[in-house]
Amino acid sequence: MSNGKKRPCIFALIIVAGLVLSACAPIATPQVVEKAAPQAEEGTAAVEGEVSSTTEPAAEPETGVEVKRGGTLTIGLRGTPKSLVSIIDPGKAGIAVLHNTQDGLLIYDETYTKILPALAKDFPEIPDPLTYIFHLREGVKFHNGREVTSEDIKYTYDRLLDESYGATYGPLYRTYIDSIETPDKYTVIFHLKQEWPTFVAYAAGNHPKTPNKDLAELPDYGKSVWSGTGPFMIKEWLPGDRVVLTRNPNYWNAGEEQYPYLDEVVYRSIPDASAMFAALESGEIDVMLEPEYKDLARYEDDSRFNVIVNPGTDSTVFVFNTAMEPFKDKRLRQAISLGIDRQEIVDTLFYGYAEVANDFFVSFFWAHDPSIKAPYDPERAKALLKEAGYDESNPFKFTLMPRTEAIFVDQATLIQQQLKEIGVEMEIKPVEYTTLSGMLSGPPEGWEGDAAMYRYSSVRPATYEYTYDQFGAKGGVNRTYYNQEGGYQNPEFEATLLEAMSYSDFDPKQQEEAFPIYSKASKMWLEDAPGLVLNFWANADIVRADVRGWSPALVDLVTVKQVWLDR
Amino acid sequence: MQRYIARRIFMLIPVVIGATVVVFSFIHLIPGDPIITILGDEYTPEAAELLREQLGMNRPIYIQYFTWLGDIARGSLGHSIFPFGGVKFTGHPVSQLILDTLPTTLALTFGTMALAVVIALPVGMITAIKRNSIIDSVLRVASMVGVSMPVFWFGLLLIMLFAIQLHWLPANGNMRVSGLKAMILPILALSISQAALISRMTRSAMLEVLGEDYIRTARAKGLKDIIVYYRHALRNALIPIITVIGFQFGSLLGGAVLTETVFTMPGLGRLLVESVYRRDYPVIQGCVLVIAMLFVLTNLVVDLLYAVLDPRVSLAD
Repeated sequence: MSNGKKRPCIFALIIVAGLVLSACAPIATPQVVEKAAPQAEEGTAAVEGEVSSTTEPAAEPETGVEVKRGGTLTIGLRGTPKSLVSIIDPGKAGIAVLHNTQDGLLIYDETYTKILPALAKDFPEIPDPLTYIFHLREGVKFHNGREVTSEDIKYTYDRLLDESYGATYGPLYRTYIDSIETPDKYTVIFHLKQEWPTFVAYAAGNHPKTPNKDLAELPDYGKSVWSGTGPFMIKEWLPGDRVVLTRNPNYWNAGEEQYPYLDEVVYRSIPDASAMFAALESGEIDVMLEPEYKDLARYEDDSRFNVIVNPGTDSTVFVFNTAMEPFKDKRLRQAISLGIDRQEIVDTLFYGYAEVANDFFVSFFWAHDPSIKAPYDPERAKALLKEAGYDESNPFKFTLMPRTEAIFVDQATLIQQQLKEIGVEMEIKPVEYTTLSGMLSGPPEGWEGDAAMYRYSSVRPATYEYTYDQFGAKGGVNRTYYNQEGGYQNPEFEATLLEAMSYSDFDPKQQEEAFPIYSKASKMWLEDAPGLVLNFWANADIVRADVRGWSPALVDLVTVKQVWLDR
Repeated sequence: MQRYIARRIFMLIPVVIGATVVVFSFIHLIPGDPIITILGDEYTPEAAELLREQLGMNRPIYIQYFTWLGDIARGSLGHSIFPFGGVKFTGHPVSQLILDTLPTTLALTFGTMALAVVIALPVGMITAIKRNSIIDSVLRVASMVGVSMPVFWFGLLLIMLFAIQLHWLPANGNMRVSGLKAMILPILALSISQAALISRMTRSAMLEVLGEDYIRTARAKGLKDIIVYYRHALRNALIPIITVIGFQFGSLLGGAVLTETVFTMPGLGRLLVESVYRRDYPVIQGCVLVIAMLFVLTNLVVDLLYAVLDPRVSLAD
């Protein structure tokens, strides 16, 4: 090793190289945070779910304010897209992106409460409950300039139906759709296997968004090739980092306003809350989606930002295993329900950014009956426990399995304290969510506890998701075994719910007729208490004050075509 | 020498295979099912079974493992189980995901260790030479603080000062977004604790060497202090220092997860942690394989440096 003496030089070189690398970086330009007037939309309440028969502008421009075009809006996402192909489940973050780049036959408006025609020029003709006929708009073009035809729509649904593609939501569509016919370039006919009252909601949903079928067959589709008809086009996706969208200059629904206003939208994945706040404070992002509730208060009085809060449909669900002891006994389920102070949970753990659930529905939903209350009555709870054979010398004990995330464990801990007041000893056994999902969808004997707590999101403005999906005998996520084999039986409830479900969600007259039936079902459900919906979580975004036209959506699937920057 | 290197590289194979066996076993032991993560609310036992079959996850674990090893032998790390698109939906190639994150991790590691060494060696030497002086006490307390201070907390303080208050530097450590200047704060945050650790080791090694007879001899010959300290003392004290530097280097290559998280850096550590959360087995296995190889290679370099620094160490067979 004759050159041994030169070795310290290697360190010196490494050190110098490191310093040079650091020093070579250009000096950051100081960023000035400007104050701006609060947004006109701030605090806008969501409208009730309804169907509009015409395409409407995404948002009313603020009167007396001249819209500024161009610029880049940067949005901070807590998650990262699973994929950027709508037929595969893109996850919440991916859906948030695709919501602005693709359209389906129908589409939700910016509040996510109203369905509008999109690639279809109107709502479908329904000659019989198993046939839906959509007529397409003519002249709608994909981002690459080719016109959308009925073949693209058929291709989209065929991919969902074809098992070999492995589309995440394929099984659902295969359950209902039999075949798709395209008699001409602008007509698509769906033949269903069975009645599907929420098909219209799904046709506007996140998964059957239409790609250009020629591009969708390319090997790099979803990685570096995308297609769509939305106001923005995907320019680049760096997984785990960011997605960049650019303006679609030939947007079919640009309207008089010539949407979209922005040149570019960047979605940055920032999973850590501290890092997200740092990015917001330093001006690196303009919008923070889904901040933690505890952090909202300090931004509410900060003129640099607007805190936009909107009621949401994510709910905390507390389910009992009604097929096994002890919760086969209705009195015990009722006692737990009466012993939980739902308002205290909302005030303490959600800082007020949630609402107490009383009936099945969130307060802005058309079927919600404000006269129904889920009572908090510790004395009656104690009486029911006594009736069931429990008292101070023989306290009722059970195990709750919440999901492991803090919001569920915190709620479980508070409920544990509340139930202590009525003499119930509740053990908390947090379970990782995929393990919990697998356990609850299996047989009742497989539960490692007596009750469970998780989140359910009714993302479509349809009563089915609030009610039958969770508590119907054939509901997709009925985790209580209510009216299922071995579970607690109440055929009258099932019949009432099915009767209510026979009315359309999308016809105001039918809504009126269905309303009292849903109220009746809600009361029966509260009485049986197979599961409890404790609260609905608010959606909140923190937006820089110079971001205008921000329109909060129920499920944080924000439409950005109407957003502009006042800079 | 070449034979030694070849033998060490050959020995890398059982070490890496051992690491993959451990990881493969452990990730299947932790609770959670990737199939349910993929299916989400649409989970049904039938859909899960179909997907499990499509992904080959219904086969015995040892068969899955050997299939994966076979893929590696054919030069493929496989694909993420989360599909992104393509003709028949497939996940991102694991090798691509790792290659995307590796530059960030390498830049962070080299930058951090370089800065840490620049700070630590002089500080360690000064505290050893000026033993029990005020400057020794002050620097020792400082290094204690450096070692004890949580990196993520220090990182947040740096962000608050330099990104939010002064607007001099970006709050993120993402080179794609903010260029090379994005690396300054993460490197600073991480190097302080590394420097503290290395300086403490340098002090202790130097103190031991400074008490040796040959140092007294060198001084008796009338050599200048600087020559005694650098040529005679530091050179001989470097072996334990190099060991620590090598170990820390290897650890950082494995991913400084907290730093990457606080600074939103798309690095290898964050990729690994996110894959664990999603139970994305092929990505976890690919990351661990790469990290294990980097760690073993770092150790090899350290061993070679031993021979360079100490002629008594022979690498001959």
